[in-house]
Amino acid sequence: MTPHWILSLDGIGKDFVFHHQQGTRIVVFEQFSHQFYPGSATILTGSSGAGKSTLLRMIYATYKTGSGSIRVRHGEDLVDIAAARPAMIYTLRKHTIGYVSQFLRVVPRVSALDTVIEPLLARNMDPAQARKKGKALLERLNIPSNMWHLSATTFSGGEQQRINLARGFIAPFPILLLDEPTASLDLKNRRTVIDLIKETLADNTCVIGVFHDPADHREFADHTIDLAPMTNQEMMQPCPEKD
Amino acid sequence: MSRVQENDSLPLLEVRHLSKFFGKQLGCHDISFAVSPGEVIGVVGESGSGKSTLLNCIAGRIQSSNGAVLFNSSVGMLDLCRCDEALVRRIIRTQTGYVTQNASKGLKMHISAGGNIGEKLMANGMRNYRQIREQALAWLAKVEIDPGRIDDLPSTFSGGMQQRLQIAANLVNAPKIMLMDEPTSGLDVSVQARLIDVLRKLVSGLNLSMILVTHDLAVARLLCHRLYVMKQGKIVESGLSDQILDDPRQPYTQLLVSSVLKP
Amino acid sequence: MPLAYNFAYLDEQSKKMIRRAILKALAIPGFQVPFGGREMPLPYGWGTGGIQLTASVIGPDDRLKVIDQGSDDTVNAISIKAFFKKTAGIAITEETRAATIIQTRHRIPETPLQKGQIMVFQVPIPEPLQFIEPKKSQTVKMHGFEEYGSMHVKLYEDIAKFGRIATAFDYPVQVHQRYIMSPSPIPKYDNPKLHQSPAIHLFGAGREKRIYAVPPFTDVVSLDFEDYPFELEQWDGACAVCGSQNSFLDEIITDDKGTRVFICSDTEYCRNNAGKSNP
Repeated sequence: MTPHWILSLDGIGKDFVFHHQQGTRIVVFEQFSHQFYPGSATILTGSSGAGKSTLLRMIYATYKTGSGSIRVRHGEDLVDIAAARPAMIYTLRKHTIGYVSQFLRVVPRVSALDTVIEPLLARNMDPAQARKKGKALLERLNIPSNMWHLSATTFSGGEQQRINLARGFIAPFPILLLDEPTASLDLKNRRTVIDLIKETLADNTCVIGVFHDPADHREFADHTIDLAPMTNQEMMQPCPEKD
Repeated sequence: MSRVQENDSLPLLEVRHLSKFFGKQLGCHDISFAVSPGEVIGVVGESGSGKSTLLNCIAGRIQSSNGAVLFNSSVGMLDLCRCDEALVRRIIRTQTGYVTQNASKGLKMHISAGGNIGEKLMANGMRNYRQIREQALAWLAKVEIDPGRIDDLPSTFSGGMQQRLQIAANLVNAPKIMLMDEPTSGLDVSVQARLIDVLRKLVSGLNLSMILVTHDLAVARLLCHRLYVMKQGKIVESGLSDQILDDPRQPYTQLLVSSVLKP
Repeated sequence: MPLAYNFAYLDEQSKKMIRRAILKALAIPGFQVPFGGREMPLPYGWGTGGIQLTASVIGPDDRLKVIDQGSDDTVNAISIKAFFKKTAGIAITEETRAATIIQTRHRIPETPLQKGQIMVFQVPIPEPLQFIEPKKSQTVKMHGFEEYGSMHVKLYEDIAKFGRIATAFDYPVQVHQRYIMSPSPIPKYDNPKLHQSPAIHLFGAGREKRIYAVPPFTDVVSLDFEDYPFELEQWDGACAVCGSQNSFLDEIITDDKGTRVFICSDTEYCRNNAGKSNP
């Protein structure tokens, strides 16, 4: 039987060694395996430091994978992210894996709208069409139109996060990684984001996310992975994540 | 900064086992890496780590002691350290750009802004004043310098304007790769931001490759696809920019990353 | 008359060395040949390069003409003529046609040169690339690799500033489709006289210790732009003395009220021309 998974983690391991803090070594994953499927939402749970964000970042290749493989279906091919060449990672990030971080990395002098539509332009979409799409999404996320052409530098935390979300949802990806995307949002905007997530799920996207609010889990989660029990508790030390 | 050519064809530039010794003093040692078309590579590390020496060897400004610099030029793959000097000079003049930290060294300060931009065009055989003028005006606009300043000397420009002029004077030829040595240091933070913004737009618009030497990790994250960390003339770690900055593995890289103040 | 010096002042070994440099310069038209410039009994800038060339090629039968600013009787010209009269005892002439060697500072005579004549130029700045590239190590390579494109930057700057190529003297030329050469401070009016000239043109820079040459019947082309071609100076009037309309004119202020006249810079040509029209 052909496997239908889109993303498969096989025996992955990850540790952090802090050379300037007495060489402390923290093991976050050891021989961890899991498969993810299109159109399904998986929520990562576990206590702080269990490696929820770490896992997302390993899938996005921001963190190097120590051992094992992270295979992803990229078009017709299977690509091992843990061993892929840089050019392949750029391609994956452009077409296959989307990632919404906890905080927007604001670039000075780039307007909110341009920040949002960058993933579309990277796919060579016509700029006018991309702007149209970007505006619609910003409107949906309740960013007033007089702010679209301003740099997000001066935006509030919640506004910046909505720009970040718009950037994450503007282009469809087969895999979408969400790292606490609703943390700093009010109820109304949280609702919008949950709707957006449901829509991408309906488009057969594989969503993997970390959500703080259990209410979110009930809304759309197909599976949850509780990370803490799967890792080697004895070796766990305080949080390696840079939150 | 996400338009790297996707096929795994020949790299645009490949450095192989490049070393440079100044007498007994080590400049850089056994450096190897490749740059794809459209890729922006950052070389980071503290002063004296050999970053600029490496860049100067690649640019042919310093004769390397060992190793090769292969460049996929318009006339095929060439080893810039080996082949005929006349050819190397022509290739470097027409297909590469070099931006120095100090704009007054990269520009001709006694020649007008327009003349500085036009020089490369004339060097490549353009003999039509009107065309040279038009291109110079267009490039001034692209780097956000008032075209009305075309006949002014660069010495009347601010530091940030000089640096942008230097970039325009290098890009006018549509080089395949730009080599930049600390282009943002020595500028005010707000001026830096503008320069970086101009660079970002140009890089993504022109499918330009770039090797950027900098000690500013924020600049490196913003502009570069990949980073090489240098210490005492050697590469100690390399990877995607976010890997190096968010998940540094080597002791020196961890020290470098953790030493940066975050406002 | 017993001479206190060797013929033409320079010792024979130095002359041989300079002649070798001249032969090399003639063989590579426009290329600057370094030579072991000698100390001369006059300061740099007064024509030491030209005098060494003249001293090396002159023989007892030669007839020497020396001009300064086109004039046969300005201080520099007279001093140099006196120098060679004393040290070589050779014949001096003001007639361009009669001269076998013509040493000059700023002009090429209006009277067309002939086969067998030698023009000797006193050169202050031999390197045409100096404006664009001050490093000698670089200019040598630029010449070697024929990297001349940026020579046009100076012309570009002129047009940008003045709306036309304002360079009026020492206007750069390309010799024999190869080397870019500085024709010394002659007015650009004289540049076409170098092109396919039947005479030999030798250039000597005493301070910089460089010799270069244009052999007879060699192409000498002035640099320009497609849309700003090389143009000669033109004057509205004619020479106030001889009435010539085909000659390089000097502007002369005649009183304190700004009254001015234009007269030929080439005094010998002017005199002959005046004699022709007013017998």
